Amino acid sequence: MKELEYKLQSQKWDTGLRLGLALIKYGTLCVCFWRLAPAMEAFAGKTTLANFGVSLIADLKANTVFSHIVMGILGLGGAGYGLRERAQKRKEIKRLGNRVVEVEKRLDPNRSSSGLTIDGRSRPEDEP
Amino acid sequence: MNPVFYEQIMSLLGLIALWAFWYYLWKPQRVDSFRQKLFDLRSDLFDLAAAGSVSFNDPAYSQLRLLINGMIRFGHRISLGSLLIAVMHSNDSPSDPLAAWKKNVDKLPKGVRDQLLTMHSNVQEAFVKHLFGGSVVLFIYVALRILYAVTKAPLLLLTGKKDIRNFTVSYVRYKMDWERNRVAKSGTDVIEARVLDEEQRRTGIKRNPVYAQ
Repeated sequence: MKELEYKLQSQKWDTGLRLGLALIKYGTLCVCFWRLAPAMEAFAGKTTLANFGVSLIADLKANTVFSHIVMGILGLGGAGYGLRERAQKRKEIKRLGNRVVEVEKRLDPNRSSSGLTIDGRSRPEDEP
Repeated sequence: MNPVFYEQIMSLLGLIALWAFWYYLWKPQRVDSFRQKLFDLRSDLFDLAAAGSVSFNDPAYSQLRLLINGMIRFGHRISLGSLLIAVMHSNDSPSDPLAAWKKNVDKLPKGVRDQLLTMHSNVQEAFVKHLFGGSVVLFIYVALRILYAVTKAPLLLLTGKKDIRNFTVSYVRYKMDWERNRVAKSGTDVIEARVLDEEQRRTGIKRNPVYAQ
């Protein structure tokens, strides 16, 4: 197979793959919301937030609601902590990255780069 | 409020949270971790050249660096799908820059050659781990294969076909790595060749005549 033909084929497959992955990603989210809507509709407008809280404790065991709240706080807290740590790491990459490049270029002027952004992210044109 | 609706809403919100966790926390973290590993390897490679073991202009060095750079750049696009496409096209590629790199490595003295080959196999190992950590399907496949091997092991022990050493943690780890490499090996080479080809084009580092295939 000629080189250009091969590259064209590869690009076609890559585009198909990206499309497929995007469909899986957003399709699953759509299914979740599609299933969520009827449940929300079931009590929309039928109750106020105050009644909602009271009836929850009345109808369900308080322990169940409490455990859901604790798990929610833990999950969101963990995710927030991770995101803060990652932001901190990006700052460090930005601060130290340039020094490494400078030092390495002194020894190897033709030094090739990974092409990531200065804080270590993928370039927008490489994003799927 | 009907408890059934409450449970339904909580379950669906949980699924949405899981979706967000997978796509916006877990996957980017895997990519960062993979890139960090590759940056470390690239740094080791640079140190090797800075120590004078191999020249910065030697194709064996520059092409391995390009490969690592390409893997860093495209790390976020590695998936089971890309592996399958690579395997499908494994025989169609008009050139093989990876084979050309290996030929150049063979020309180096034994010590440096072994170091470069070890670095390359470390790159491959990081790639395979990254691939499996980001694919539920591959992860389940390998887990099932290992479960099968572990279930079969007592039977083989009883029949005398295996000895007690096959029940150690290190053996299970070895088995896991072996399974992962077996699944990903053919695709890894094709993906590496494509990444190297793409990087050669991007950086404008012309193929030395010895690379032309």
